[in-house]
Formats: sequence, structure tokens, C-alpha cells
Amino acid sequence: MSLAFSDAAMRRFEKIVSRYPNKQAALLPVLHLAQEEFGYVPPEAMEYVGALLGVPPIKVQHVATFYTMYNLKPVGRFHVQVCTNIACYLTGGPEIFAHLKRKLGVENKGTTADGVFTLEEVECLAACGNAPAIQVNDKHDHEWPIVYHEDQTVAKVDALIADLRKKASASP
Amino acid sequence: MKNLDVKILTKHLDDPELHTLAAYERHGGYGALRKALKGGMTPEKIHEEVKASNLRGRGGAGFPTGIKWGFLPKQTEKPVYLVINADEGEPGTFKDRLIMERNPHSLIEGCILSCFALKANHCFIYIRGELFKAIKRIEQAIEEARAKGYVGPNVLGTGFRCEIVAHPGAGAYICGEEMALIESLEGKPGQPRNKPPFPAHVGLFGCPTIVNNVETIAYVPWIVENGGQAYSDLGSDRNGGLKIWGVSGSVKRPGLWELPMGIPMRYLIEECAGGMKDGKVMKGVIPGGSSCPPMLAREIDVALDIESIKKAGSMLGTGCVTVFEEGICTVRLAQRIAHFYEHESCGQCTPCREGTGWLYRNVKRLEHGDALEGGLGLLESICNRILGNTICALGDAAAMPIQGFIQRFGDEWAAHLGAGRCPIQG
Amino acid sequence: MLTIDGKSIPLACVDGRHTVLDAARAVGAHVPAFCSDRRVTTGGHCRMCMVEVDGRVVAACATAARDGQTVRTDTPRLKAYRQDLGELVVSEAAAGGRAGAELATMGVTGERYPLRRVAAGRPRDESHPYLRLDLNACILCRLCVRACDELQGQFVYAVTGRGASTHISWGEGAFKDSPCVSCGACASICPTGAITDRDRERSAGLIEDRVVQTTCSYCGVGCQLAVHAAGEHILRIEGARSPVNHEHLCVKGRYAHTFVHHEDRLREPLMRKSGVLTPVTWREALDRVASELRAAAPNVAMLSSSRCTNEENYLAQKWFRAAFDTNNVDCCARVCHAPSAAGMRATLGTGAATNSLEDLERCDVLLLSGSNTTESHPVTGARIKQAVLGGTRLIVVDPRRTELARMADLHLRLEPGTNVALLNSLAAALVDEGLLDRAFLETRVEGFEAYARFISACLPEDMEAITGVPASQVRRAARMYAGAARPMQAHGLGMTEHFQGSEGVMLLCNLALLVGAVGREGVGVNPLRGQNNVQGAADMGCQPDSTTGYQRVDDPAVRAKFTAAWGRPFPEREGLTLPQMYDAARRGELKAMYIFGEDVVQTDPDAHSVVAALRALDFLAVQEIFPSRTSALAHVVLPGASFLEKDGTFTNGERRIQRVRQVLDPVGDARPDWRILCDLMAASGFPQPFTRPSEIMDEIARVHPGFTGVSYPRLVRNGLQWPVPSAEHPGTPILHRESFPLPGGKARLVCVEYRRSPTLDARRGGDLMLITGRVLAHYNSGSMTRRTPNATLEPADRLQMHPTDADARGLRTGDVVRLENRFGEATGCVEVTDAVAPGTVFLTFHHPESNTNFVTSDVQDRIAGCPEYKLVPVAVSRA
Repeated sequence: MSLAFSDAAMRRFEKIVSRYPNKQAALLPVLHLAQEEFGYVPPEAMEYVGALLGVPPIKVQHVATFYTMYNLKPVGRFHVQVCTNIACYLTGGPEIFAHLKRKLGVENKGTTADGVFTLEEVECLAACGNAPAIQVNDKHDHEWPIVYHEDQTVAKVDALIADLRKKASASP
Repeated sequence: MKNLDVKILTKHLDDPELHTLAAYERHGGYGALRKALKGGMTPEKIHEEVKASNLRGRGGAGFPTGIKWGFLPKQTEKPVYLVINADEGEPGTFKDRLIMERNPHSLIEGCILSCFALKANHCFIYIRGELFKAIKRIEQAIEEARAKGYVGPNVLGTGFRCEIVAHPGAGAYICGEEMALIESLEGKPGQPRNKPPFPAHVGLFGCPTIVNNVETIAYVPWIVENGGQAYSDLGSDRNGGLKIWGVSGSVKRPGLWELPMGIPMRYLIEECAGGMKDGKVMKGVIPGGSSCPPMLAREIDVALDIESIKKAGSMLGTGCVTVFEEGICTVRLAQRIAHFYEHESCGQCTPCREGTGWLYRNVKRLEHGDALEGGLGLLESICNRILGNTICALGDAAAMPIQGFIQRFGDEWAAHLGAGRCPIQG
Repeated sequence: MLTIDGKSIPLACVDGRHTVLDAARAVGAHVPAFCSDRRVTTGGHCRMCMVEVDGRVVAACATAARDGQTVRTDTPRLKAYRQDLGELVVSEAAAGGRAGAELATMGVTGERYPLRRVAAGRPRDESHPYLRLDLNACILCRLCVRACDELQGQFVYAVTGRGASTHISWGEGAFKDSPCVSCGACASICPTGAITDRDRERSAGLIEDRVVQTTCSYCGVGCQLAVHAAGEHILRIEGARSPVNHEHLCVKGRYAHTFVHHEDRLREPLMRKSGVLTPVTWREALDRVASELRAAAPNVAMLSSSRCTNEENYLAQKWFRAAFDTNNVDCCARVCHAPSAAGMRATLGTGAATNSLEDLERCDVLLLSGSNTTESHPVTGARIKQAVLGGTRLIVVDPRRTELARMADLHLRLEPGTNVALLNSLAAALVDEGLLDRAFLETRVEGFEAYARFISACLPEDMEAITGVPASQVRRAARMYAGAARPMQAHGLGMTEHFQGSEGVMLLCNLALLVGAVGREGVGVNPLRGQNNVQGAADMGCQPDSTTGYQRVDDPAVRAKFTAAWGRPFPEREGLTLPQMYDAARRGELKAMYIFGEDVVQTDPDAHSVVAALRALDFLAVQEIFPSRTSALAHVVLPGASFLEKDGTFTNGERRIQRVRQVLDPVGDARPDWRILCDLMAASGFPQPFTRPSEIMDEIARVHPGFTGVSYPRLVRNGLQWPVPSAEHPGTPILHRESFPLPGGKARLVCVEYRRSPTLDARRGGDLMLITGRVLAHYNSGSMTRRTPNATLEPADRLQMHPTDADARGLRTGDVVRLENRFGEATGCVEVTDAVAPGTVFLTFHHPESNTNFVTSDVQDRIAGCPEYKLVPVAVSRA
């Protein structure tokens, strides 16, 4: 597989790189861009980004595997991330996570068979005042790819999942 | 008690458009910038005021900001960088997100003024990658400020150059550590560097660098406008000004309040957050993020300033208090905390990489009533192996809460030994 | 004063560069440390070396030693800490090596923290011929990562993941498919045995009985080796501490030593009897050689060996000059850097590198011309990479996009054979834009006015059409070079092996003179000498026009001096150069030849004519360690010793005379070459008094003015850089500080016009331009490297071809092709790559079956007679 940025992504790439005194400093935002473009960050993407920025591929790999936001394997359309850290722990986060596991029929980091959802238990989302919180990434939404859903309950989560399903079937 | 009605960063939060330049300016925003740059304030003068303000770092360590700024070399041929630590990730903490999402221009104005004071022309705001809305709002604010001539090659026509870049993180708690943050900004894994050299001398791209928290810098415009002494007077002795305090967990009204340094924790929990919800009884609190040792319910009359809370055996941390109730097993809570630090250890140094995992595994066994022989002593000894022996403070942050839980809830923890199951929550 | 466990260290040791760990070791305090090594930067990862400094617990490896510190390394608290940390380490990995030994000494059991997560299932890899990886032993000290990044600059390794999932990674797939260049730094530095040398398997169970420091016998870098041996076995070779290589080595120096005991070694003298080379006694062989040469004298010639020691080269030329009354002495400098010597002697007065390898770290711009340094001089190449990674700017002049060209700030990718046009245009840009050191030109250089007039016609805009390099790029390069505080140059055979090779080198000198970049630190003109002792062979007098110390044979005073020293005269008339020897042989004028340690049939150009020349001789003797294409033509073959089997000295490319020390006895009946030469001299009626090489050096010191202060005891540590005019003189790292050894003490600017190589006017049968050269894994004829596991790294000669040329011929990587031109035919294995430009191909010459030199041309450098290996038209088709 040989990967390359689209023209639009290449323009964004140029803009990102222009903000930094050296190319390597742009690695994190460029990997975000690569993930947006390619859906996840496979080794070919690491190589491609490394070549663009003059960073040895193995060093890109270290970065891509160090940070949790880079998906090294394909994820579902919606990456549902449930916080269970202390504030959410005290307000029902673990229960919501358990509920979603049952509801979606997946384990932690699992993806539903239809490829719509990937479920993951995550660390504190800095939403403790409105715990419990869920972060949902939408692969198809380039405008607003990450949305927080706060003050969640099991009932609200059910509604959220239904909503996302509807969205998925409307614009697959 | 100080006047609790004075507000700075949250004064105009009722304006839903506050995040726009127009609204911010309508409420007097960028007045400090005009005053400083057009009114002939020198960089040294601003530094003086910040020193006088007794403003202390709002990221958790509480280091006096004016003194930190003074660590920059007096003469340098290299560029100086200002880096804003907006990698808010300490569990229980959610205050910087409020500033960035709702009042981003306060940070931008603070960045410009601080750059001016530090003779820096470049500022990077390192924002936690998950905080997408905050990143968007900050980027918009930078663009608006640039369009207005507040940011760019010639700020307000004075010839002062100030470039601000919002840089997204990618999911690593350790990047809240200043050296890890600098490494991450350079496009590397967030692995803290050995200190010394300190960032003020060898920081970003090998250049002199000051790293400050979002909230810290957001207060700078008010200090410039009203004077350091006025800010200092808002707070308590050696703890200048206001701070955004948070309460989360099992309280009626979790949230954020801007109040003077030194207010009692009880006031924050009971008056502001409305006390315990659903008739629950408070068992204890984690004062300022999960790395702070917990305190018992009876200890919450402590004043929220750095020295008082230290004397009480914990840390002020980020000033965001997490409240837990009777019925919560502190071993299970500690297990969740230990899991976090194992997950977030960068893996560089042996005591932290191996120690955090070992702590988590053994606390987990303890929670299941199946602790290793050696019991709590063994846990404490691992804490001692980690504490003070690692490159950065993450190891300490993992060990201190465990020590604190054992110290304050020792009976409960001892009851787990050999119990075969959790005696509290089953 | 600094106190460690009550012992004081004087302030002199506390110079800001040393750590508390260094200081602790200096007083003999035992502080275990797994992740620290003086070769690389400090990581501070293992946290084993925690000590108390003024009551604070810090990592000794990451803490600078300072005046006034009070250090404790042995408190009960620290001991308990280390013990416990050891337990944690053991819970993570089954460490062997020095870390494992240390842990065992500490009595670590792994039982204190029994929640082990030891993964026996971590990756292992045995795909590489030299390196074995087993991450189950890895304690994540990261020394391998830092060694690879900071010593070689290859970036093979990284840590992957974080926290508990952290592990060392070399990317996807087998290790042999990683970008590894087999320098072995990782295995050398690994403290646990997670990365080990596979070649130690053979010596498993042997107990090391000595470590001998010697000088590597591959390229002209002159790396210092620490050879670990047991009896007649080499256990392993490590880099020694030296300003030349700083403990670093390459795949040849570290690993390619097993040829020494290869079954092909010549183990006894051979003499042709009934057409067949047959074993004979030494006596018989020596007498035959002596009598044949005596009979043919003075129509005899010596080709001496740049692979052998100074002492041997000195003897070789002394023997032929004094015993056979001829100056027909040459060495393989003729076919590599003779143009450097000639060109630099003409302009600067001395035909050798003006500066030292250490200047690579001092310069701020490096102009590198015609050198694929990372493959041909790997340790110097790695040094250049590190300098560039550290901010030194690099300009590469090369038709090929080499590894360094890819890293360069500017790559002037010229058409092959247009060096002179390009360098003139660079100089013209300097003059045109006034980028000159006028004071230097005024006081130290002659001929600027005439030169300035000449060069004004060579502007980059004028030369663009010839060189193919855009004028704007040339001007940028000129500004970069002239704008540097310390602009340095290095060049390789891409400069010299051309029709205008010597002249090209003169132009490099012109550039340096124009900007005043000679005679101080971090600058100069520096040929990267090809063979281990090609500098020395020339210094010793293995050339037809001058004897030892570049003293001309036509100078009566010189002849008088040597007659007194040797007790015999030698002729006034210059001898034949190597190509002239071949010509004379083919004409029947040269009757006998002695070839010492060279396989000219494989390595000299236009091999068919070389073979014809050797066949035309009445007598050919070859002194060698392996049978070769050349020895197959000989009447007598004498078995010499490899560098590991004899004593002597080599002189590297920075004029550093370094010791070669015997590690092993010669195989079979083979003898050290200096001894063979002494025996032959005796048999020729010219007996020599030498019982050991140091005595030969003492004689060299008496006749060579630059060697007056050289003697073996003075060479013990880091050798000496000539000139060494007295026994007290410290050697000369930088030439021409005050003046140039030319009339008036001034250097000369030389006007050279570009001339098209005649090879281009005879394009019969070839539409592609062939450049020949080397690859990393092999050395020249490959006689040594092909007889080691390096052969598996590079099993065949490579033909690099641009994708457009490959597509046009339907060729893909791995295809075997035939190269043809009017000189002959050769074969190669295609590598499709954009490293070569369209229309250009590159072929190596390490494997005899490829016959690379059957297609190289008969064109020679106009001044020094060096063959044009770097340019010949060929046609390429599928074999």
C-alpha cells in the first residue's frame, strides 16, 4: 500500500509545518492529519509522514505508539471513549462503560461487527465537573471530529448510541 | 475572609459570546495590552508587577511565577520561548478547559504580555489533543487577535513581534510535565529530560524557555492593568490573587468557582458545591488532582493555600477537589488511581516503569483480598523505591497517593489483607 | 575539592565535563550503572547509580561533578534501594551480560517482587549475519538506541509504546531488512546480552587471554581496533579509544576478520612447474625470485602494496632502487589518490591532507566532493552524519545521490566528468561576488591577478550547460562555503579518478585558498585516502619520481644522502608509473615484475590489457595472502601475512602514523611480509640488518625529514601525525599554519581549463555512462571481505540504474545484466534506484566473476596517470 495526502491535506500540511522552526516539531499535528486522512496510522503512514518531515520512520513509530490518540489499527466510524477516572468513577462512569460493552457486544477497544462503533475505556477527560463524560470521535466529521458528551447516564447513553446509529445509516 | 465577590476570569462568563474578540473587548479586554505597549511599560516593569502579585503557578506545583521568569539568562543570543502548558490531564482537574473554551482571549492577551515581558517572540500553547473545542477556540482567538494586530510581526504598531501557535497534544498525561511537554512540542515522545539543565536555560529547541500554566498566564492581563499589589491583596499571605477552584465527585453541584487563595475547603465544598448529594456522607477528599494524598472528611477546614494544605499532609495541586463518600472502598479507588499512573508512565526509567505497574498489580490484589505476603509494608517499600528516584515527578505522583491512602485509611486497607474479597464493596 | 565516600578528588578533575559517576569511578567507588556509557549521551534511565550529593539523592550519571560536593555512594539506604531496584529489574527481564553479572553479584533473586511480568515471548531475531537480538534480556537501558543514533546516525532502533508496554523496536519485519549498516555499535554497548554478536558463537567457551590494540587494515580512516583473542582465535574486535574512531567501527573493521583463517589462505610458497603452481621451499622460492630479477635488472618493476606497512613499503622501494638500479617503483596510489598528491603538491606544496579528522567536528560547512563517505570510509562517514545532524552544513558534489547527498544542504549533482567545470564555476562565483579572504590572498598566495582574469570566464552561468548544475545552486554553494567561519573540504576518488583528476584537486585547493581556508583549525583540503596505508606507501617512496619522504630521485643531493644511508646508489632517471609498466611490458621492454599485495587484474582498469601485459613478462612474482587473478599469472607466489599476523605501522589519511601489532602467528608457512622482503634482499645480494620492524622505522627516521622524531615508543598511544621533525615534536595535526613549502612560502592559484574526457568521444556501443565504485560491506577486490559473512550482506556486484533507464530496458531490481563496450564485457545485478541520474549507471567491482574492470577505460589522468574509473560509456542489456 502506498499512501499520500490529498491536495487539500497537503495544503494543511504545508500550513502546519510553516508554524514551527523545524519540521520535526510538526510531527504530532501531522500525524493527527494523517489519521484524519487515512482513518488510522498504519506503518505506511508513519513512513510517509517520516519522509515528509525528514524524521526516520522508526522515530515516527515511537511517537505514534507513545500517544494514545493515534490509532494503530482501524477503528469504527464512531470511537466512543468512556472516562472511568476518579470523578467519573464516583458518578457512574464504570457502570456506563459496562453497559456499553453489553449493549455493543464488544470488549474494551473492540469494534462492532458493522464497523460503526469502537468502544474504549479512557483516562480523565478534564470534564470532572460534568461527570461522567464520554468522548466520541467521528471519523467522517472533518469539521468537528471530537465531541464531548457530559453529565451522562445509562439512559442518556442509550439515546446517544441510537442517535449515532441513525447518523451512520444516514451518511455511511 | 476576603471579599468573595471579586471575579476576574469568570466575571463575564454569563456572556455567551465571551470567547469572541468583540465580546472580550466589550468587557475591557486587551486594555492591559494597550496600557503596557502604548503606555510605555517596559518588560522589566511587567516582570516587577508579576513578582509583586505573588502569583503562583496554577498547574499544581505552585512555584512563584515572577521568580520563575527571573531564571531566564540575562543575555542570550538564542530566541526565548514562552510555552503554555494547556495539557490539562490530572484526574479531577477541569479548570483550564473552562478558560480556553469560554474566555480564550484572556489567555491570548496574557501570552502577548508575558512574551513582551520575557522578550520572547514565540509562544506555543500546548493543548491536550482531546480538548478539541478548546483547540478550536484558541485557534480562533489567535486568528482574531492577529487580524486586529495584537498578534503578529508588529503588535499594535510597536515593532514588537509576537507569534502564537496552538499545538495539539496526542494523548499522554506525562506531557503535562514541563520537560516532557517540551520534548513533545519538538515532535518526540513525551519523555521528561534530566534536570538540570532547566528549561529556562535549555528548553524548547535548546533555547531558553518559560513554561507556565493556562490559568497562571490568563491572570497576567489583570495584574498588568491593576498592578501586582492589587492582585496580591486579593489573596492570602504569599498566595496572591484569585484562583479557579473546582469540586467534583459526590456533591450536589459540581463545578468551578473563582475565589481568593486561602478560602477554606469546607466553604468550597459546602457553600459552593452544595455539600454531599443524595444524603451521602463524606468520607474524604482528594484535594487537587489524583496525585495528591487524600484527606479525611474531618480535615476539610483547611485553608486552600499551598502552605496550609502542605502542613495538613497533602498538596494544593490544581485546586480541583474530588469528594468521595462513605461506602466507597479507598483500596478500589486507589486501584483506579494506580492504574492511571501505570498507564501514563512514559516508560523511561526503571523505578517508575516497573514500580507503577507493580503498585497497580498489588493494590488490585489487595482489593481482591489477595495481597502478597508482606502486605502494606511491601507496598510502602515500593513507594519508597519510586519516590525521589525518578527522572520526573510522575513516579512521585503515583507513589504519594498510595502512601496517603495507607496513612489515612490504614485500618480499611489492613482489613483487606487475607480477606479473600473486598470487605467494603464486596 | 570534591569528596566521595570520604575520599577527596582534586578540583582539576572537576572540569564541568565529568559526572559524579565519573568521579566516583575515579576514586574506585563501586556504583553500578547499566545505562551509562562514555560513547553516548546520558539517559539516566536505569536509576541504578543513585547516590547522595550533599544529602540529596540524584543519579550520578546525570549529575555534573562540581567543586565542593560531598558524595556518598554507600549509605545503607542507597544499598537497600539498589538491591530493591535490582529486584524490579529482574522482574522485567532475564538480563545477561555485564548487567546480569552485576545483578548476580548483588545477590538479586527476583523473589522480593514476585508479580513478574517477564515476557519470555518478546521478540527474538536471528536473521542478520552478525547480530542476534533477544528482547527477553532487555532492561530498556536504551544504549542501543543512543549508540545507533549518536554514533552511526542510522536510526535503526527506537523504543515503541510507553510505560509497561515499552520495548525496543526496529520496525516491522526481520532485523536484516532494517536500515542497519552492521556497525555493531549496539551489540558492543548492550549491557545485557539482548543484542549480541553472532560471530562470538564460534568462540564460545574460549577464555580471552589478551587484548591487542592495532590498526584496521581496510580503508584509510585508520580506526584503532582492540582485538580480543584467545590463543589463535579472535574472539571479537572492539573499537579502541582513539581520536580517529572514538571506539566506533564499521561492518568491515569490527566483523570482517574471519578471512584470516580462511581455507583459501596461501600457506606455502608456490612456484610454476610444468605450468602449474606447485608448493616449494622458501629457499627455492626466494632464490628463484632473486635470480630472475637480477637477471632482468634494470628492466624490472615493483608494484608495492598500499595494504602493507610503512616498513614493508620502505623495504620494497629500497630493494628495487638499490639492488636493481631502477626507479620502477609504484603503488596503487597511482590508481586512486596520486592525483590528490600531485594536485596538492602543486598548489599547497604537500601532497597530503592539510587537516585532521577531528576538524570535522570543528568546521561549520563541509564541502564534500566525489566521496560516498558513509560506504567507502564508514566511520568518517558516520562522523560527518553526526556533524550534519548537529548543525554543520554540508555541500555535496557528486553525480550520485549518496546517503550524504540526501542529507546535504546542497547537492550539486553534476554530469559525470565535469568536476573541473563545476569547481571553476564555484571559484568564479567567489571572485565574482567578492567572497574572498583578501588578506590571506595578499600574504600567503601567489598569482591572484592572473587567476582572477582567467576565472572571470568560468561563471556559473557559463558552465551550467556543461555541468548540468543550475548557476543559482552554484552561487548558493559559493556563498555557503565562503560565509562559513570554518569551511572544510574532503574529497574522494570521484575527484581523482578522472582524465582531469589532478587538476580537479588543484581547483579544490584554489577554493580553499580564495577564502583563506588553509592552515588553521576546522578547514583545509582533505583527501579521504582509500587504502589503509596508501598515504604511507607514498610517504615511503613507492613512486617512480621520488624516494622516501618525497625526495626527488633526480636531485643529486638526495641521491648522495641515500647512497650514504644505504651503501648503494640508485639511478637519476624517473621510473615508470604503473600504467607505463604495463605499456612497457606489452612492448617487451619490461621483463620482470614483482607485485606485492595487489590484485591488479581485478582492480586495475581495462583488465584485458593488464592481463596481456603480465603475460608478456618473462617473470612475475606475487606476494599475497590469497590466490588471486594476478597470482594465477605468476611464476612464483610468496605467502605473506595479514595485518593481524605482523608488526609495523600504517599511516592513515590524516597523516597519522599508527602501530600495527601482531595478534596471531601467520597461518601455515606464511611469513610477515617485511621478513620476506628482507630475505629477498639478502638473496639479491643486498642483506639488511633488521630483526624487527621498529629497526626499519629507525632507519626511515634517519632518511625521511618528516619522520625524524618518529620511533615506536612514541607511537604507543595515538600515533603521530607527520611531519614530526624532532624527537620532542608533538606531530602536526594541521599543515601550512605559517607558510607553504613552495618557493617564497606561498601557495599557488592554478588556472585549469575544462577538457572533455576523450572517453566521451569514443562512445562506441554505449549509451549509458558507467561510474564504478564500492559498497559498504566489501573492500576493493573483496579478497578479504568475500571470505567473511559480509558476503551474505552483499552477495554480488550491484549495478545501480535509474528507473527510467530500467523501464526502457524492462529491467527490475535483481535482474542480472551484461555491460558492454569496446574494452570488454562485465556483468552486474540490477538495483533500480534514483541514487543515479538517468543516463548514468554505477557498478561495484568486489566480485571477480563480474569482471567490472573489463569495461573500464584506458583514459588516464593527464598528470598523475590515474585511470578514469569514474567515467566510461557502456551498453547494458539483460544477460
